[in-house]
Order: sequence, then C-alpha cells, then structure tokens
Amino acid sequence: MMQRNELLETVQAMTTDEIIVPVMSAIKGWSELPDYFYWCTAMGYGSSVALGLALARPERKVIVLDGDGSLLMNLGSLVTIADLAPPNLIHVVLENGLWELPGSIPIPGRGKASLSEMARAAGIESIHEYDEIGDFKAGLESLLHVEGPTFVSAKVEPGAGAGLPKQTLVGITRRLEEALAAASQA
Amino acid sequence: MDLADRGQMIVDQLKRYGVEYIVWLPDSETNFINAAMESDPALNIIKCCSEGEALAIVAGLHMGGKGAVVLIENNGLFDAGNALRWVADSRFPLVLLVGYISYRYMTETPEGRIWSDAYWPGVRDLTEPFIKAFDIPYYLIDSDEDTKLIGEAFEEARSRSGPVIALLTSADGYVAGT
Repeated sequence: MMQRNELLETVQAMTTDEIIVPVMSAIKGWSELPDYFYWCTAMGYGSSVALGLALARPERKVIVLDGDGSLLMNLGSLVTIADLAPPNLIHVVLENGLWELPGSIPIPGRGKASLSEMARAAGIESIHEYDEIGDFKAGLESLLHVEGPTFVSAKVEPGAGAGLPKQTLVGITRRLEEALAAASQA
Repeated sequence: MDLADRGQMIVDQLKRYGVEYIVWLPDSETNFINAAMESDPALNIIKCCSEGEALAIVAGLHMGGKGAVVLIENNGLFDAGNALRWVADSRFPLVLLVGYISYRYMTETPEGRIWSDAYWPGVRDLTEPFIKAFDIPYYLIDSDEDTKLIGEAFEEARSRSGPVIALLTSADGYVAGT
C-alpha cells in the first residue's frame, strides 16, 4: 500500500500546468503549491469543483485528489461526471478507509463497498486501481496523455502529513483565478 | 404577460450579465424558465444530482473564468447548507437562482399579503431566515418588473465579492389546483 506523501510527491513531480484540486487532508504533504491549484474544503464537493474547472478549461487536465470519505458524501457526482464526460478530468481517490481529520474514524462500508465499482456503474469507463506507488506512477504517466474522464482508486496507508497551507481560503481561490486568467491572456 | 415570457426575461438578464452555464435541478416553482433556457443555444444547461453539487460545479466554472449560475429550489438550498457556507466563506461572487416554493400560498388582504396554510410550513417560514443566517443578500423576483433586479443581484455580487440570491416565484401566475 502507498503512503499518502509519496503519492502526492509523485503527482507533484509529474505535473506542470495541470489544475490540481486536493480535497481536505489531501492538502497535507505539498512542499510547495503548484501554479494551478485549489484546495477544496467543502467536504464531499471536490469532484464537483473539479468538474466545473474541467468544463471551463478543456485545454488543461484537471486532477482532483479526493478522499473516500469525502466522495461517499457526493456519490451522485460520479453520475454527473459520467454524463458530461469531460475528457480532461482525472478523479483520484485516496482510499485509506478513514475520515482522517476528525480523528481517523473508519468510514461506512470499509472493506465492503467498492468506489471503483460505483464509478463503473455510474458510467465511467476508464477505471484504474493501484496499491503500489510504482504502478501508480506508471499509470499516471499514461493517464496524463489519454482522454478521460478517468477514475483512479489509490489505496493509501493512513497517515499524517505536513501542515496546512499558509494562504487563506479566499487567497487560494483568487490565486487560481488569477493564474488561469493570466494563462488565457498569454 | 404569460409566465413563460417572464422566463425569457430572466434568461435575457442572465445572458446580459455573461452567464454561459446554468447548473440546475428541476424545481416546480421555476419551471416557467425551462423552455427559454433549454431553447437558447448560447446557454449550456447542466443537470446534476444534488444542490450542493450544483453549487460546487458553478464555483469551479467561475474559477475557470466562465459565467455560471445555479437554478435550484429552496428545499434544495436547505440541503446544500454546507456547500452554501463554503460559497459564502470563499467569497465567490455568484448569483444563485432559487425557486421559492410555498410563496404562492400567500393571500392578499387589505393589510397586505399574509401567509395562508401551506403544504410545507417549514419551507414557508424558514427560507428567508435560512438565507439571512448565512449573511447573504437576496432579492425577491415576484413579477415581470422584478426581473430587472437580477441585474442588480449580479452588480451586488461583484461589488461585495460574494454570493447573492435571487428568490424566484411564480406566485402571481399561480393557477388554483396546480
């Protein structure tokens, strides 16, 4: 099973101008923030924010780093994503079986429910599961260059990470807006 | 004027203020807008599965540089409380179109409109206090003349750098028995 930090470091090393959307505790572990970056603190809604970004900016890949507990709160988003089918969306779910922030509480259905199968049943065709960082890295390398939407289940160990970003919520929002606006004008 | 014409007036206002996307769930109160918005090739109409999802999609569209509104029902706004809190905290300058179910049950009296019995008194009694609890300004769009207030909602959202709600009713177009 992967460590969350090594997954996030892999994403950071392999991406350049993609829009990265970590959700809740997936923010922990970024050594520096990418240029196109949005930390989603609306529990459950990272996949939907990422969908909006993907529709607005079809020229860029959008990678959402979701949590399994978070996605359980917005399962309908799988259906909406499948229905709209943005080819530039990669939905990575870090599955540790926990709601980590409130105290590492096991999520319902841990070990029973399959988010990958839910994504498949929702109509998403590109489904990938990774347990090891090497496989994840090789998979991501491919997925960054093929059409999606893509659903990735990444099994990760529970674990702490570094602290929270120093920017404010509004600051992070404006940072992404300004970066995308500047890129449009370039 | 036919209520469908008011729907067109609302759509015209949205386009005037740069809206390209309407993210919605069906709402009984505002179905008079459906024909106008769905027949307009300049608008992208996105259906989703929950009102919180709608708010989040619109936020993403906005950050990506696209003009977007939600069109949802007040019942759904209650359901999307945490997402609404996040939209307000993040200061997204969004206009949220919200159908005001239960408003049609107001009755005219010499003293003005009063509430009469409604199917969902909680919906009737809590819609505006709910919105006020989030410190979000709102406008009541209750007539053809009121549709110009949608423009004011957009102006206020920009000036305050935060969300503004337009509560839409079909009260004066209400037909008994429907």
